[in-house]
Order: sequence, then structure tokens, then C-alpha cells
Amino acid sequence: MTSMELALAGNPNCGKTTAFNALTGARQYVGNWPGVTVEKKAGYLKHNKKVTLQDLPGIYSLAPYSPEEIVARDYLIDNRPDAVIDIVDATNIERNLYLTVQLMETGLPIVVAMNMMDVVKKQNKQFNLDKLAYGLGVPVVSICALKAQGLNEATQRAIDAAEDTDTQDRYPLYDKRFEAAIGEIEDVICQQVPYDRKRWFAIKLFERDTKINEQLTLTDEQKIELEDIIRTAEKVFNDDSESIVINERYAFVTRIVNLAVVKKSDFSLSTSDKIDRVVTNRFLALPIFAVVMWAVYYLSIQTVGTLGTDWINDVLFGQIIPNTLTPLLASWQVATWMQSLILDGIIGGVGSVIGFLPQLIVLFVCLGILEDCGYMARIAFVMDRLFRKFGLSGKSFIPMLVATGCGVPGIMASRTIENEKDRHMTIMITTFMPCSAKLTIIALVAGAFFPTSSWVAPSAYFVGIFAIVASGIFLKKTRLFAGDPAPFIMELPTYHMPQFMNVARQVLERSRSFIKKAGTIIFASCILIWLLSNFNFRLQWVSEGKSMLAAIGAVIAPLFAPLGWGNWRATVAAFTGLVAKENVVGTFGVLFSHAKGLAENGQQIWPLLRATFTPAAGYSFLVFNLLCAPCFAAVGAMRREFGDVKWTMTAVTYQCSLAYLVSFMIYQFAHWLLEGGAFTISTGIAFAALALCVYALGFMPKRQQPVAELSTAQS
Amino acid sequence: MATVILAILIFGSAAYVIWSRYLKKDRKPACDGCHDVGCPLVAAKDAKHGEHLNS
Repeated sequence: MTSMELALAGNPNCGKTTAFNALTGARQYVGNWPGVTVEKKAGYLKHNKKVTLQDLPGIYSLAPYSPEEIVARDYLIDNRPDAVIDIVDATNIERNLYLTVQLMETGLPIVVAMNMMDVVKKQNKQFNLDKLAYGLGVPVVSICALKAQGLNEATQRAIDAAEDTDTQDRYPLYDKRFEAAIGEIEDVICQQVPYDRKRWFAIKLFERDTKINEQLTLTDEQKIELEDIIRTAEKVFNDDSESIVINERYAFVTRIVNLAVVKKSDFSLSTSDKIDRVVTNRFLALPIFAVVMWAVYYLSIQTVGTLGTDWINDVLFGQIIPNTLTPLLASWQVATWMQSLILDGIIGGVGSVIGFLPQLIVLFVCLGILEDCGYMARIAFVMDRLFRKFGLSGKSFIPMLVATGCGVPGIMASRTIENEKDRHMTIMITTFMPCSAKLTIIALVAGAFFPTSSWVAPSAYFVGIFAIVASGIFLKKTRLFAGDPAPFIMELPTYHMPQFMNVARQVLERSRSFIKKAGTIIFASCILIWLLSNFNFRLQWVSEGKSMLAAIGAVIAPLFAPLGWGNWRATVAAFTGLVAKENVVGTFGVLFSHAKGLAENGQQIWPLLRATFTPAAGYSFLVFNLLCAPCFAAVGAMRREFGDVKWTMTAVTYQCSLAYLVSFMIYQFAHWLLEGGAFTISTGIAFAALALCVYALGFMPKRQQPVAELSTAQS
Repeated sequence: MATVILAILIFGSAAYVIWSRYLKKDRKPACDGCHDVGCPLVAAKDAKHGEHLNS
């Protein structure tokens, strides 16, 4: 067998990437919500290295409207894979077959892989796959992507279909009058397009697809002839050409479904529907979400995760490693500065970051379960309701869900948003969601200042959502982002028991990535911070207070004094967080490692932090780091997605300004009201800032969309 | 002697990290997590028809 290329196509969230991972051994991110794959990816079949498998983005049609559809359509038409495996979500057969029919129109060999048949059984439906195959005229295979069942058979059938030299037409046949019109168009263009693609081109020309029209070099006579054919058909069907094609496809799908699907009970609510009546309820949805997120953070930061973190901090990095290394380094007669570098710089810095791994693992497990069972997709639906009220599209929430893992793919996931203004705004505000790196800061502040309060950690999540909503309201009123939100249609996946392998893979990959980052970027950063905090500008070994870092930090620190943490250590920590957010904790680890009695107590940083700031300042520090500019990697992703330095700078400036403003107000109000602080000029300024925010969010008039843009959008 | 060896090891590792992450021309994507977990934009370099995958 010569080398071959197969493509996996299907609707969003039908299981393509799960099947792709099972077939190729790849570890592509599988999200239980639509729009995870925005670009095509390729891999070799595990059992046959001569076969390349392409994972295409999920699409509902081959119309050139969304970026995903364009990627999939260009690939299928221009690059022509040898065969297509069409993954069909059997629980939504009609809509999925609509894409199948369009794939068949391309003339490519197709194999239909019916996924989620187990869920169909629970829905009291039955499929006759033989009848389905007969009706469609293509092979149909039952698969279970989650359990990797039937996938090898599907690929083998696709290989057979690709090798089948019998070039009989595999097209779905529509109404005879429509077929006659398509036949006439085929005659007009037959000289310009290959035989196996002429039906596809004919249907697209019938739909008046502008891209296809531009692609072909038709003479004026041919164009007039085509227009005559289309207009005649429109008169016959009494409808516009695009609707005629859609109706014909759905009529075909309905015939197939009637032939092959037996519904035992059409009107009973499925378990998913019953759960959704509560979980997505207009009044209960948000309180339930708040309780769920509280439980997630309570488990990971306050209880289960803390047990592991305490052990790593107290025992591993507090006793075992220092007690082993100190005499060892002394016996090797290692210089004092090198001992300090290893114990205070590397062990103190990297160790303080690694200490949060158990808490992160518990958080990854909880989020993985919520995502895999289908709950997180509901949150996007619930958020759409909230977002829409404020002029934002629910489509913006998908990138934000992705950003809870890492901001970079979250920013990239904004590509699925067609409206440029909405996309730009989403890129700008996506990183307000706390990513896993920021969790170390959340855990540090929650542990140091609020050890008995379970609301602090989850509040970080809601501060992120609040910043997103408030930014949405405000930015939509500005000329840069004015306009109506794009409609958001999202299919809610059926609830299912979380799959151990899916959750385990996610936890393993994220944890591995965290450790790798600690061993590379954080390691290098800690060494640099140690050097800067132990030497002066003349490169002399000095006490920390006279070091380069103290001098640099002291210059910038006054800027943050109104936020309650105008301390050079905290200032430096916030700045090193720009390299990687874990660096904030690492920096404290290095800088506080010099304090006396450190090795005697594992949770060294906490009491020292408490001695440095008040709880209000601690929370203000947390909020600033959550909302300010993300790490360099995420800023780089923003730059790529904006395609413009000016936009990137605008976004970073907005993020830093918002972070400063919110932290300032939080500290000033909390310090005055809760800590008995005096009412100062700063408190007055904070009140003025609050009034300005209330005006901007509630009373500021909306800027009208420029007339020229409106007419473009409407056309 | 031990100090010199440790200094070479530690500072060499740190320099390598900085070089490979920020200075090297064909460096990996800056975000480890996304690269490992499956960044939406990581193209399959080894695919058979590499030309059109990246087109």
C-alpha cells in the first residue's frame, strides 16, 4: 500500500479529537465543548505509519462563513484527502447528517462513523446501520471514540474506500427538477473543473457562492447562462437558490432518518434534559455555579490539596532537602555564596513553587471532571445569558474556559469569533480568568492571610469573571468595540460519567508542564533574582537591603504604595510575574529565604508575608496579579492574534490600568472599613474612582457604530 | 573545586534555559503547557504532505 491521507470530519464536539488521539497516540487537548480545534492537525495511524490522519476543526457545514469552515473546506476541496471518516454524533443524527450530505457532495470517498451509540440506546432510540449505509450509499460503522472501539474498522473501511478503483458517483440524489438544474450547470463548467468535483462546483454555483465564482474564470455568456438556470429553478421552487439547496439536503436527510432510525419514545425527557432543567435554570444556574466553584477551590486549596502542600513545604523542602544538602555542601567545602545560591535561591525559590503542586493537581482533577462530564459547556450557555445582557457574546466565554488552564490557547481560541471587534475584545479580556499559574498566587495569599476563610480562593475566579463582564460593558460603549454581539449557537453535549483516562491525561499533562516550567523558567528566574538580591551594582556581595534588586524595587515601589504593598519585595515579585506567574511565589521564596529561622518552619513565606502586609493589602496584591498583564508567552500570543503591536500595547495598558484601579479601590475601602485605617486623601480618590466606574458602567452613553461600518456589516 | 563545578552546572543550566527559551532561533513555542497539552496552533511538522498542512 502506498502512503495515504485520511481526514476526520464532523460537527463540533462529536468526538473527532478523541478518535484522533486514540488512532494516532497523540495527546491533543480534548475539550468537552465545541470549538476546541480551530486548526487542522495531523498524525500517523498507530498501526499503519503509511496512513496520515488529519483532524479537522468541527464544522456544521461547508459554507465559507466561519474560520473553521474555511479551513476544513479548503483542505477537503483543494488538497483532496484520499478518504474522509465522517464522525457522526448519533444523538444528533439529523444535524450531523446534514454535514455528511455536504461531504458526499465533494465526491470524496466517505465512511460514516456513528459515535455515541451507547448514549442513543439510553435515549430509547435504535439505528439500523445497514439501512443507513444503504440509504446514504456509503459504508457506515459503529464506533465509541471514548473507549476506542470500532475505530480501526472505520479506518480500514476508509482505506478500502480510498483504494476502491470503482469510480461510481457517491452523491446524494435530490429532487429531479433540482438535479436537472445541477446537471445543466455541470455541462456549463465541465471544461473547467475535474470530473469528480464538478457536482460540488455546480451546487456551489447554484448557491451563488462568491468564492467559487471568483475561483472559476467564466465568460460573460456562461455567467448569463448560469444565472438563467438558477433563476428558472428559483421560479419553479418559488424560493431562493440557497434555501432550495438547504431544503433538498434536509429532505434527503429526513428520508434517511425515517428509513434507519426507530424512535421508541420521542417526547420523554432524557436524563441530560432533566439535569439541565435545574443546572441551566434561569434563577438557579449562577448560584449553582458559584457553589460548584467554591467547592472546587475549597477542596483544592483549603482541604485535600493543602495536605500534600503542607508535606512538601514542611517536610520535603523544609527538612529533608535542606538537612541533607547543608552538611553535604559543607563537606564538599562549597563556598558560602554557592551554598546560599543553592539553599536560598534554588531550593527556596523553586521549592516554594513546587510546593503548590498537590493543590494544583486537586484543582486539575476537579476542573477535568467538570469539563468531561459536560458541566463546563453549560456554564458557557449560562454565561451567554448574562453576557448578552451586557452586550457580550457567549462565544467569548469558550476562550475563557480554555484560559482556566493556560491563557495562550485561550487567546488562540478567540479565532472562532467571526466579528473582529468581539474577537479583539475577547483577546483583551480572556486572561482575566485565573490560569493554573495564577493559582499559586491565589493559594499563597489565601494561605498566608486568610487560612480559615474558604471564600478567598473562589473569589479570585469570580473577580476574573466580574472584570470580564465589567470590561465588556465598558468597552462596548467605546468607539473601538461598539456594535451588537454576534449570535451564539452552541450544542450542549450530553452528560456522561467522566472518563478516567480523559481526566487523568489532562491532570498528568498539566502537572508535567507545571513541573517542567518550575525546572526551567522558574529555576533560571530564581538564580537571576538571587544574584540581583545578593550583589550590588559594583558586584560586591552585600546584604539584601543594599542589593541591586532592593535599589531597583525601591524606585518603583512607591507607585504601589496606594495599593497597600509599596514594599520593594512585593513590587519585584509582581514584575517577575511577567516572565511566568509562578515567579511571584518563587521570588518571595528567594527573597524571604534570607530571613532567620526559615529552615525550622516549612511554611516560611506565610508568617513573613503576614508581617509585611495587612490582609487588605494581601488581597489587593492578589487582585493586581490576577488582572494585570499576563506572562510574556500570553502577551506574545496576543501579539500574534491581534497581528498588531498597537493593539497589543492597548490591551496590556488596559489590563494594567484596570488591575491598578481595582486593587487600589479594594485596598482603600477594605483598609478603611475593615482594618480601622484612617480616611485619607487616597480613600477619597478611591471614592471618586468608584463613582467614575459606576458612571462608565451604568450611565455613560453608548458610542454609535460609524455609519460606514454599519452598512458594511448589514451588507 | 566543588564550587567551580557547581557554578558551571547551575549557571550553565540557567544560561541554556534562557538561550533555548528566548534567544534560540527555532525555539519551541513559549508556552510549555500549550505545546504539550495540544496548542490549537501547533502544526504537525512530520505529516506526509507537510507543504499543504502549513499552507
